[in-house]
Amino acid sequence: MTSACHAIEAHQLGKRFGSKVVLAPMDLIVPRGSILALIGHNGAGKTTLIKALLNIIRPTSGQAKVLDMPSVSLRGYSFTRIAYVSENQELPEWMSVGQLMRHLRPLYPKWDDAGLLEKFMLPLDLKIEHCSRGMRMKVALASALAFQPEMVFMDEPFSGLDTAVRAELIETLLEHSTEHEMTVLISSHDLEEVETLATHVAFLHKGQLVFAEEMDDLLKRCREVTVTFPKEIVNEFLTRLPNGCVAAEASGAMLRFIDLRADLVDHEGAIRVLLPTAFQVKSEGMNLRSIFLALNKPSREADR
Amino acid sequence: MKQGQLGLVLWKDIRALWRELCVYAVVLLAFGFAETETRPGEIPDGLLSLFITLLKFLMPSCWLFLIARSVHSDNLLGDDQFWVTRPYRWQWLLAAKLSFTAVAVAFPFVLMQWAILWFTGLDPFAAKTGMAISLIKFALIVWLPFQVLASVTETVTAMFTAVAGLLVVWGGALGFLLSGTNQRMSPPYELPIFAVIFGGLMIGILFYQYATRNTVFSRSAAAATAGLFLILVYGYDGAGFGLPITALIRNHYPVNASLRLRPLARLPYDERKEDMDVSSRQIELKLPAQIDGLNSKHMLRDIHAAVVLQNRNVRYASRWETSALTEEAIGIVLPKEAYDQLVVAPVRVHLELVGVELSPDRIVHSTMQSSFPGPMSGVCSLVKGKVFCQYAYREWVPTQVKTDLAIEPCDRSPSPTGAPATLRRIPAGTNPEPVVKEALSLRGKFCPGDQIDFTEYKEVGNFRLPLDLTDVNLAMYRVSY
Repeated sequence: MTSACHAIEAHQLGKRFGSKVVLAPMDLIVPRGSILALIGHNGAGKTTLIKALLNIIRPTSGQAKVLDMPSVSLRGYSFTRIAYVSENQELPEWMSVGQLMRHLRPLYPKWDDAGLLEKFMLPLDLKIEHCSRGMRMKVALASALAFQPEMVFMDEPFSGLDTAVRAELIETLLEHSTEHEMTVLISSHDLEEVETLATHVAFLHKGQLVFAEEMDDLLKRCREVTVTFPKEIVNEFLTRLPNGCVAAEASGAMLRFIDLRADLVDHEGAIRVLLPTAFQVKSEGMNLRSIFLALNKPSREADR
Repeated sequence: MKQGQLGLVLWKDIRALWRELCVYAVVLLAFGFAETETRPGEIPDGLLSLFITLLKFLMPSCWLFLIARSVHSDNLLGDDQFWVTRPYRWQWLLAAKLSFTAVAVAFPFVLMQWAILWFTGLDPFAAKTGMAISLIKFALIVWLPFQVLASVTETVTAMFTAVAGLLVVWGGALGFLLSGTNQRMSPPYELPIFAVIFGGLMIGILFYQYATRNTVFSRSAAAATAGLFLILVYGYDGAGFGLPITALIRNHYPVNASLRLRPLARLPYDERKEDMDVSSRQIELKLPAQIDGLNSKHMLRDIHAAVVLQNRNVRYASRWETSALTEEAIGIVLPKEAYDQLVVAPVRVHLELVGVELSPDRIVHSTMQSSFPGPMSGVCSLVKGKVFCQYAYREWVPTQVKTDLAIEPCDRSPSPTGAPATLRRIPAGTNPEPVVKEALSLRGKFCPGDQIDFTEYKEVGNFRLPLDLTDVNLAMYRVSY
């Protein structure tokens, strides 16, 4: 794949605040046209990564390219190709929706907000300071999609929104992404929603990029395995589990764990080879939320 | 599209701050109204004076608030600002913020000044240089520093605290650095040098901050600029830099071929009195000398002197300080301690006198009445037998006033002495009121019909006159005890 196919290319990109490492140096590649879900618990470094990629904060190591532009050069005109929507982003509160759109329109070579405002049912005379959280996010997204960017960064766009608004935002985002071949990087805690729209997923844990891959690959390789033994002997198997098997729990004659490196070709058979005394082996697919919880389990236990 | 950004951001700020701008307009209107209500020669009503004082405080407060709000509406601090990820060019953003200050802060203020001048009967454009200097000073002393502080702070409160802190620290530091230098001479090119250095530095900080948003560095640069200002005030303006400043002064005031300083044999009796304001730790000396070669119609002003006094044990060199030049003596001030050490033996004196030579330029003949033409395109009025003049801005034109009493009888008690007066110099500053109101120091009471002549002078050139004396007994020339 050539670099022209990549919307984001980061090499050893890292950020420290003083001696505190907020982002460990990481490599990340995001293909053009993809929708990357950036997941991780609070404080994992998701916002820092987005801000470093957008040149809002300066990385302390490495470099990155966004749409083939060095991230540290992103300013001014670059943002006619890149949009940013964040739950924390300040908006000109005193403006009405219509005033904001009229203010932004001359800044961009292309602008079409009519369909978006109609779809989101945003009244032009509504003051932003009077908008609900959901409305504000709609305004932010409308003002970001109206100029048809090649890439959209979204930082926790769905947090605190009701289901209907989330669905509306996701639907619009997917439409635009498909219609304009737009790349999307979205950080979110709402894993169910993210799973429905993301083509790729990256997991950050305590500032480290644990993995970044296609969503389908992740869902394929992560399996929840339940093994039943004839008698209560499972504890001895806990230490026998190979690398890539996490969140193991033993209860009576039953052992349950997550296999992060599952080979779908006869996965259950492979487990039986590993655990020959097993009475019954069951390998089940997982959703993103379960994988996220399983990945976070060791650290949560350590935190406790 | 680039050009459009300036207008776009400027218009956005004006719309966002329209309520605050209305308040500012009310403050300006009130100030203009109150100022035109104070009549020359009349003691202003106490409440009106209080109101004007309050408005003089409110006006810079409005400037601070408006500039801070405009800059902070597209904040340079923090990382959640709306504009950072929008296609704003920082150059146009900065230009828009500076334009806001020019259009929404400075221009209404200038309009208010013009209105006051117009209501007073003065032509705002008759003193273009004064107006320009006044505006440059406002820009350099108030508006530009506010712009810099706003660019490195996040909120109006933070900016207000920074301004208050700066004023307290600066006030204390300047008071300490400049104590005892009230008679010092300001070196040449004071305003241009300070304007270029500090105007340039402040613009540089603004450019840097808008280009990089490196607030930590910009704050350090702003603090360093404030420190440099104190150093330059002490070193340049306070004559603390010594030789380079002396060289500059000598270059600016060349030795004049037509004028000569001639020592006199003795100090005339009527010169043996104090002419200068000296403290208890100072001594005024009057060296008998007179200037030869001065055209009788010319006059001298801004006379300063530096003197080196040396006996066999002690050498004392003064800074360039104000000197009182009379027809037959040059008054200088030296510390009592130095005098006590020098007076014990004959002293060698080397004195250099610098100043500006003036010649008459324009004479305004007027007949006194309730309102009549005055100097500097101003207007004068006769109120209860006293003459008051008003003129625009603070550009000082040296003016001599001469009166001629009318023959018609009128109540003249006390009767005017007819002694000539010179309009005093009012230091150019950053006062918001553009009208200089001055009571002429003419003794006695005048009547309508009396003649008054204002002779405006122009500069002929700068001069420096050296004087060397040997075996001087300083005690003979001491006039203060």
